[in-house]
Amino acid sequence: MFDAMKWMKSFQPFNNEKGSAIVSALLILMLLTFIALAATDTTINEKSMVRSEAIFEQNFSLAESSALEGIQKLANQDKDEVDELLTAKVTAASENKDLLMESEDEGVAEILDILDTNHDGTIDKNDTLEASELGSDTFRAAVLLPIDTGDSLSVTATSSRLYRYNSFGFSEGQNGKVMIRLGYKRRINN
Amino acid sequence: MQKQTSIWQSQRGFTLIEVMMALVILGIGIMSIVALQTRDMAYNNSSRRQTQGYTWAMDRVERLRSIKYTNADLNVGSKSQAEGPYLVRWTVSDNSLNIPNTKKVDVSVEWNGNPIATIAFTRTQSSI
Repeated sequence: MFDAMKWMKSFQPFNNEKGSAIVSALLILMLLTFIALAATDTTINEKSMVRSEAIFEQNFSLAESSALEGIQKLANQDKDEVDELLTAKVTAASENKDLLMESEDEGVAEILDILDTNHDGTIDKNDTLEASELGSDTFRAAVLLPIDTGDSLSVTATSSRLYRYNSFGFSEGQNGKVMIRLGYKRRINN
Repeated sequence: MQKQTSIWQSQRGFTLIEVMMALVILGIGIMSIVALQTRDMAYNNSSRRQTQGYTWAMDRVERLRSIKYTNADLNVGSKSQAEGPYLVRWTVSDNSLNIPNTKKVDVSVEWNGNPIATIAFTRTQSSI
């Protein structure tokens, strides 16, 4: 026969206290474990954030340096060297290991397309750009922009020519990726 | 008929064995949590030091970029400057064989003799 009293009693957990000390201990332990896991999670996140920041700072410094190196290389040239470099300049889609390329367009997309020498949609170490001495994941490129409309094409005693460049620096160390683009102008006098 | 008792009046107390077992398990658990927290604290400290170290390293990089190319701070060789608990050390080497008018600079920040941040850059003669 169904015993209603017995059935009710089985739902009164406090009537049977055997082993309750260990149950309480385990409950407290579980609570502390959750708190500790949350703290550890925060620490791990913090650590990876700091690591990413460090990788970014290093890559940024390398990319900026290689862009500035490109500008210094351009600034080091005298007038004859500039002329010489311009005749040897490389246009899009060619195999290039030299610094300078020429763009017929000023748009950023067109310039980036020239730098993407293997045409895979991204500029990375697989593209044949000039390597920087700073590291194996650091490289640079400079693009000569077209002469401005109305600007002098000849360099004579009375007129000078303004060359405009974009200097690019790239760094891809430790799975980071930084690109720096700097403008540079140089006026060539006779 | 059984006397109706409130749940709090039915305390029998814990046996000694039960309490000891619970304490041992709780103790082992708390010990591992304390070890975990200690490690977390050490990691947090090292994260803080690394962040501060990189801030000082970038500070030095910006200073060395903004001074004149002929400044004594950019003479070839190693120099250092204490910044709080950190030691900022920078080593300038000649890079003119690769690119004329450039110098390579390695900046590293040390804490207790251990390098915690390193940044390399090229200082060019032309200023932006």
